[in-house]
Amino acid sequence: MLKISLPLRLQLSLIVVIGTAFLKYHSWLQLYIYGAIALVWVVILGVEIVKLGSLLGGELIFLCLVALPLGWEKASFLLVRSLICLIVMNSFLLTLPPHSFGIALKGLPIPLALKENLLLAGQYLEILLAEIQRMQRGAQLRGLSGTRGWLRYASAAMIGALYLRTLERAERVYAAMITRGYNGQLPMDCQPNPQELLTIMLVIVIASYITVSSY
Amino acid sequence: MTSLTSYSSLTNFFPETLVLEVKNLMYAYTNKCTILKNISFKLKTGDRVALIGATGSGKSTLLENLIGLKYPQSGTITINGIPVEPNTVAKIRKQIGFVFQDANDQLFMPTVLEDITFGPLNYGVAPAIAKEKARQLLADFNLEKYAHRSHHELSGGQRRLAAIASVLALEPEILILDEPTTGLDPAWRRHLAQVLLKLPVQVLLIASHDLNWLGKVTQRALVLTDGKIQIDHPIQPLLADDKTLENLGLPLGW
Repeated sequence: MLKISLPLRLQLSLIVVIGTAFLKYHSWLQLYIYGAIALVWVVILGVEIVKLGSLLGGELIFLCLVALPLGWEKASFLLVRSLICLIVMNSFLLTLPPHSFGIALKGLPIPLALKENLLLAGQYLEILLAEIQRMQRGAQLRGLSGTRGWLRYASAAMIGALYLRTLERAERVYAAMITRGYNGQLPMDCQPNPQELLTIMLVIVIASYITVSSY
Repeated sequence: MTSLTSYSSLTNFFPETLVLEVKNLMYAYTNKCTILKNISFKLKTGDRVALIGATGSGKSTLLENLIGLKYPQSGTITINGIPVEPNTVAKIRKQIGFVFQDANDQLFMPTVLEDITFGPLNYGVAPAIAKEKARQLLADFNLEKYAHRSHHELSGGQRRLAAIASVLALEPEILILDEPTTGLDPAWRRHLAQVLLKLPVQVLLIASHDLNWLGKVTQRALVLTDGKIQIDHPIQPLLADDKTLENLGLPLGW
C-alpha cells in the first residue's frame, strides 16, 4: 500500500467523487474510466474487500429504493455512478485510522474559519461520545433498570450532567488554549508539500478532462 | 508558619535571583468561602518546589492565580518583577508554562505535532522553527512516531508527556504542573521524573499528592493547609517526619 497522507487521501477521493457526480447522463465510457480509477483507489488504499462489500450492500439497497422509480434507463446510470462514488468514499473512510477525521479535514480547501469550527466541533464530538459511553457504562454496571419514569429521570439526569461536564471541560480547554497564547485563530498546518500539490493538480486535470469530455 | 529547619536555597546552576513572589494573597470564591488566606512565598532561580496539600486545600486555585486564570481579592503576585494583572497577563504567560491536571484538556489539535506547535505559532514563531522545536521535543519524549497522529492514540503516560512537551515548546522560565502523576503507572512516573529533572527551566513548581515521587523531583515543599502555607521547608526531612505529615492530613504511604 502506498503511503498517502490523510488530507491528500480525502482531497483525491473528493476530486474523483465530484468528477463522477458531474458526468453527463449516459456517458458510460467516462463512467467506466472513473470505475477503473475507483478500483485502483481500492487497491492503493488496501481496503478490505469483505468490509467494503458489506458496507456497499446496505447502501445500494437504499439507493435502489430511491433510483428505481426513475425508470431503468436513468436508474442504471445513476446506480453505477453512485456505486463508484461510494466505493471511493467508503475506501477512504474504511482506511481512516480512528480519531483521525480531523487530520484529514484540515486539508480541505474551505475557508479557515469554517475549517476551525469543523475541527473544534469534531474534537468536541469525540469527547462528547466518549463521555456518553462512560456514563452509559457506569449506569449499566450499577444495574440501570426500573420503571419507565425512573429510566426517563435517570436519562434526564445524565443529559444534565453531560451538559455541565462539557461546559466545565470547555472552560478547561479554553484555559489551556489561552495560557499558550491563543488569540482567536487556530494555527493549522494545512499546507500540502510540493509533491502533494503536484499530485492534486494532476488528478484535477485528469478528472476535469474525463468529465468535460462527457459533454 | 511552621518551620522544621530554616530553608536554605539549593541553587547550583543559576545565580540566585527572585523569579516569583506571592505576597499576602487572598482568594475567595464567595464572601463566605475563602480558599487562600494570606499566602506569601518566594521562588528563586533553580528552585524545584512541591506544593503539597490535602484534597480541596486550594492548590489548583493557587496555581491558577499564578498564571492569571483567576485574580486574587487582595495581595500581589509578581513574576520577574511584573505584577500578574489583566493587562500584563499576556506577557506573564509567555514566561510560565502551565500543565493542567488532565492532559486531555491540553491536547485538542488534530495531530500531536500541531498540539506542540500551537503555543509557539500563537506567539509568532516561524512555522519551520516551531516544527523543528516540536520534533526535537517529541524525540526527547520518545513520541516521534505519534507526531502526525491524533492524541487519542496515545496512552495516559504519553498524553502527559505530550502535554508537557506542548508547554515546553514555549521555552518557559517557570514550569508549573498540576497533579502530573495522576493515572500513571510506576514506570511512567519514573520516566516523567527523569524528564523533569533534565528540564532547563529556572523554576519548577509541582502540585501533587504523590509525596514519594515529589521527594525525587523537588527540593523544597510548600504545604498548604486550611488555605495557608503552613510549612515551607526542604522536602526530604519533611517526608521523614511521619508525625507532621499525619497532623497535616498527608499520611505517607496512603
